[in-house]
Order: sequence, then structure tokens, then C-alpha cells
Amino acid sequence: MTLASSTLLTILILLCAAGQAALPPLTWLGGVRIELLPGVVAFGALTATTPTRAVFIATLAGLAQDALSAGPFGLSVIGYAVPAVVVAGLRKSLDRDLPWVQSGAGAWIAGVAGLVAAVSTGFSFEAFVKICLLALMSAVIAPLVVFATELLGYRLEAVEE
Amino acid sequence: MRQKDWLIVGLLLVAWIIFLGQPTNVSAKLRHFLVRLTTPFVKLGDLFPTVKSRRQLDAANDALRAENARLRQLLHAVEETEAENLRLQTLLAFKKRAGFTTVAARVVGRDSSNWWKSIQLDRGLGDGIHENMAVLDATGLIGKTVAVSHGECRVLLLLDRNCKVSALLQESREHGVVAGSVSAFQRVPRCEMSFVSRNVNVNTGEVVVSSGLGGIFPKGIRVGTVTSAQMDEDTGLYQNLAIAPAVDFSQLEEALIIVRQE
Repeated sequence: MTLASSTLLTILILLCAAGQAALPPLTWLGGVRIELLPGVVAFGALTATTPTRAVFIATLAGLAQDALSAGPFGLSVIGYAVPAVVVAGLRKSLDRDLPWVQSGAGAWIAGVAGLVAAVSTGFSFEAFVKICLLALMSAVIAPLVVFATELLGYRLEAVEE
Repeated sequence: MRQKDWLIVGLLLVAWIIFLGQPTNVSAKLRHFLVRLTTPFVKLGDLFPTVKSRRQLDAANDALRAENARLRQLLHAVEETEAENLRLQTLLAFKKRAGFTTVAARVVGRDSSNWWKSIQLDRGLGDGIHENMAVLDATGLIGKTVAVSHGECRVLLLLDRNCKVSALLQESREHGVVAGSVSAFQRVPRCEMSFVSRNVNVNTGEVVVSSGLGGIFPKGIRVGTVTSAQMDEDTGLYQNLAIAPAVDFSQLEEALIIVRQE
């Protein structure tokens, strides 16, 4: 990951965090709002060459989200970093070019992040439904993030043997 | 000219001399009658100079369309300003009659996470804002400030389960604690009022106001109305009331932060 691509990813994370805070809730979806950051973290975890880089991206995304939230500052870092490390660790055995692999990574990261938040706010059946919705949302967003960044010339790097 | 023709000319002249000798209102009536008769033809004549080429008409049409679009945008801006003006007037009237010093603020953002309910206001430390200050608008209680920095502050909404308000039922004067609903997934935002005595008969639609206990929220601020009541299943000692908030949180654009209570 070059300095330019890291800078681009940082800007993307900050933009997505601001976008999440600006987007209105979807009342027809029970007041749930679109979350863009899990998709970006999934993209970061799939492109990171080492788990440390995945943790760095997840930390940045978590802090950016918590800065614009009333939740405990730093909680989202755990929710993003843990699944991101898992994705980065499985990187060699994943065919990262496949859209459903990207979807899976997005859903996995959003699911774990939601679970961590639900532990803090109180777990219930509604919280479970909400986690599923957010995971589904990120499953759609993650391949879109990969597609958009590929258009900008940001390619998934080759796996180092 | 024949004799008959001379006779006609002579008669016409005599008629004209007689007409000139008539009072002015008769000639005026005739004039008006003639004007009415000829005006449509005059207007018909006006049509001829306006016949223009197709190209000229198209150009004029395009110019008018552009002007129309510009005016529509202007109208929308004026309507928006008018709506904002109305809202601010309501807020100002409320500010004048309320017995505390407030700072007006604009809503600049919502919570970036789906798990907490908060908004961001454009007032911060420089405006005398600190943590744990009550935030409200003309319709009722919004929440309290939880994180303040320069130029902005975050307000924990009444809808969040961590925002607890000591409240009072306006008719029965029974105390309780209002907080955001535990349910994390709901179409219509609502709160819950807990620790209400089981012996109190609570009516649907009863108004809930802040009790003033706790020191953050002044007494008498409207919190919401009771929509339903049910006994606490765990203890059986209290009633839990579902509360519809007085404030429409989806429409929030401005708010007042109470910086000093009189």
C-alpha cells in the first residue's frame, strides 16, 4: 500500500464517516441509517498486505465514526479491528476478486461491529434484526466500494507468497 | 350632379348642423359607441407587428424558460427562508417567555452510528456551552449536551436509553424516569417512563413534563404524552408508560441550549 493509496483511503474513511452522520434515517426500514464504513473497512482488510495495516484502517474508521457519535469513544475500533484482522489473516485463502467474497467480508465486519455495539446498548431481538439489516447493507456496499475504487485505479494487490 | 343628389347632400348638412347644436352628452354617447365599435379592429391590427420568425420565437422561449427556472429557484429559496423565519419566530417567542437564558443553535449533523441517538449542534465552548446542559425547542425537551468542543457540541437525544430525565405526569403529579426505549429497532421513535407507582390511574394522552429534579432539566418542560401503560412484569411494583415525545426529532433544525436557569 503506497502513501498515495493510504491517503486516498484515509480521505475515503473520513468522507464516509461524515456521510453517515449526514444521511437521514430510513423510516421504512425501522429508522436504520445506511452505514458506509463497514464496507470501506472490508475493502481495507481485503487490500491490506499485513494484518497490522488492516488494524490501522479499522482503527481510523472506528475513531472517525465514534467522533461523530454519542457512543463510547473507541468502541467501534474493537468492532471493526477484530473482524478486519480475521479477513486480513484469511487473505491468502480468499479469492478477493469475487463479489460475494467482498460481500461476505462486508457483512462479517458490519455484523461483528453491530454485535459489539449491541453489547454496549443492550441486546434484544430488535437489536439482532438491526444487526442483520446492517450486515445485509454492508454486503451490498462492500463490492460497490471495491468497484468504485477500481475505477479510480486502486487495484486489489497481489497476495505475497 | 343631379337634383336628387343635391337634395341628399343638403339634408346631410342640415342633419350635421342639427347634431352640432345638440348638448355635449349626446355627442359623447355617440363617441363612446363608435369607440366601442372600432376598438376590436384596432386590437386586431396590433397582431401584425408580433408575427416573428420561428427562430426568434424559439430564442424567446428558451430565454423565458431559463428565466422561469431561475425564478422557481428563487421562489424555493424564499419559501425556505420564510419557513425558517417562522420557526425562528416561534423559537424566539418561546425564548422570551421561558425563564432561563438560552443559546440558539443549528443542527449540523446526526449520529454516525445506528446504535446511539444524538445530534450535533453548531455551538461549543466559545458560546458558553458545557456538558450536561438541557437542550429544547418550542415544542419540548430534546436532550442534553454530552460532548462539547470548540464550535460544536453533541446532544444526547431523549430517544437514547442513556438520556434519563426525571419526569412528572401533569395531571396525577406522579414522578417517574423517562428514557429512550430499550428497543433498538423502531419505526416511530418513542420513550419509556418507568418507576411510576402501580396505584396511579394513568390516562392515555396525559402530558409528561420534566420534574426539575436532578439539576439538568428545568421543571415544567414538556417531554411528551402517554400512549400506553403496563405493569412492570419483573417486579410488579411499578408501571411502565410508553411515551410519544413532544419533539419531532426527524424534523429538528434549530434548538435552544439552556446555559443558565433563573
